[in-house]
Amino acid sequence: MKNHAVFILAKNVFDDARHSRVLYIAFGFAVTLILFSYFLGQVSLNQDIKVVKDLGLATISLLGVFVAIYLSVNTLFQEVKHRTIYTIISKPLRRHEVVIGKFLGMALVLLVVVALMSFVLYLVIGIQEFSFDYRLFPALFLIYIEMLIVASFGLVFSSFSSPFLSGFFTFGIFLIGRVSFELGQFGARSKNELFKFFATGIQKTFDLAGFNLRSEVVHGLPIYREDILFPVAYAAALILVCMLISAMAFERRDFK
Amino acid sequence: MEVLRVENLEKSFRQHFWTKNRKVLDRVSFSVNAGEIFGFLGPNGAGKSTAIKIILGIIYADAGSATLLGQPIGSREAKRKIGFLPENPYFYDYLTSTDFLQFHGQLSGMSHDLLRKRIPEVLKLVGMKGTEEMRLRGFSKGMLQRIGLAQALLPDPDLVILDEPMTGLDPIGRKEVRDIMQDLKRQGKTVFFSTHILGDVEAICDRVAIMNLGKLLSLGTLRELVPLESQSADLIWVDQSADFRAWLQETWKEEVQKHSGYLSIKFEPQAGEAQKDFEKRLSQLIQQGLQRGGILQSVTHRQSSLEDLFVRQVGALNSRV
Repeated sequence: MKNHAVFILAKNVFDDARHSRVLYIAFGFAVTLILFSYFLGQVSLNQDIKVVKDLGLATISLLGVFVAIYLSVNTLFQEVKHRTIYTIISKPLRRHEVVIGKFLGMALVLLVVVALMSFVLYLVIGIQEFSFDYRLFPALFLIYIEMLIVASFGLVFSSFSSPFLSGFFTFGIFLIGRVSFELGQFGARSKNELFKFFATGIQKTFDLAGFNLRSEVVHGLPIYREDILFPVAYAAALILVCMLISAMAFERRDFK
Repeated sequence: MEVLRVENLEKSFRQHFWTKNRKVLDRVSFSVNAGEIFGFLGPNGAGKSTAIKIILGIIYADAGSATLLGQPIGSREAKRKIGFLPENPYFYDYLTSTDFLQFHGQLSGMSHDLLRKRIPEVLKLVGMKGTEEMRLRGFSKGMLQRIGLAQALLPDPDLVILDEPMTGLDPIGRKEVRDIMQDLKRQGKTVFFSTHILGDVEAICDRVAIMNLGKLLSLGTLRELVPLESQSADLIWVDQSADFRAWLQETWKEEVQKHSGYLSIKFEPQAGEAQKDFEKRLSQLIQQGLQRGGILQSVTHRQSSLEDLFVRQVGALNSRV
């Protein structure tokens, strides 16, 4: 099982990421921001721990999404650009296995990235109030799931376009997902029927706001089981659709 | 038995959506027999790499079909029995030789035990023993070519497909690769390789296909393509008198070139003249010249080479891409 092409390719993505300077820089930047939240908390009015949690989770989410976009738009493109794909495709495997292997590899890299950033955040919180806040886990878990969604969209776009365009489109998708509720509200009040149709349609079908439990964690609001299960089920469906599209695009592609 | 059969392959590419489709393969058909070394010859842009990529399922043909070891191209079963070295290979440069071969071996479905045994063998075979722990980023172009060849040979394939395997190798490296190919043939393997280096083809190939501008121009054994008989003879006579010179020009009806102290003649067969008749006519004329007191310095028989055939078929530079 561990010798299956999918897992070998996933491990290759992980090894590749370990040698990426961009990821180290992104991680360094995230750590700096999380540490900075400690000092920002010190100058706030009795809100120090809230500031650390809020800024820390926001940093992990944004930097994580950046890493997800960077990895997903580059991983397939680099294989094609450097023509390493030739020796991979000529091996006894199917093309969709390459796509699945790449996605699993990215999922592993993102997991490590989130875990490391979370460790730093927990360290800063621990210094601040000598406690271990287990309530951060659901928020961190959904941040990770959101990163997987973003990565799967990046993989779709990178199956047929350049990293720049793929990155642009993926970031656009992420932004739309994050503001889809507001977009829907705005569209509902619009007099332009076409805009209303699209805006409310996006609100109903594509919403990443559910992956953000920051307010609940920071302000100590209750987190219900449904707050986790529904987003996870929705993410699974979304990722599956993205993987199918990527696999189909990759299956038909000529590698000149 | 055929290990590779290609029938009427066609492929067109469009550089940009606003440019016209350019046909890079035009009804190409050939087959490769088991146990032979097959040379796929052609200038740059002839369509060799495109054909190889179609055979390996890297790109898709617009029309035509191909089978690999009796299986449709692109199938897992067919790919299991082939090894492939791409042109100008690039590999993950942070890997060591061993890591790199392990990665490719695992993708080929090889077990850890088998890899432990095979990796030192192939590294020795391609002359890379001692580089096991060296990272690929420190390799020269020739070393990368060799390590690429090692990954192609790692799963002990029945058919080895090499796209320009001599690129970047020095003369010794080229000879070593030729020796490896001949070794593979001795082991009963089939080698299919593309090149534009005629000497390599002449040295080791059993059969050759010549391509240009997407079309297959010739296919056959070297003996079939390049006749063994001499096609012309170069003669050099000592330039001793004006009478002898005049006789030469009149009798030989060939272009006599005057040099300082000697006369050179290129003697060619007449249209439709059999090789035997050509040889007879040549010896008669030489005898006549000698009877007239001529002094013959040398007779050199010129044989057609693969290069002659290649240049004749591929033509001048303007027929190349």
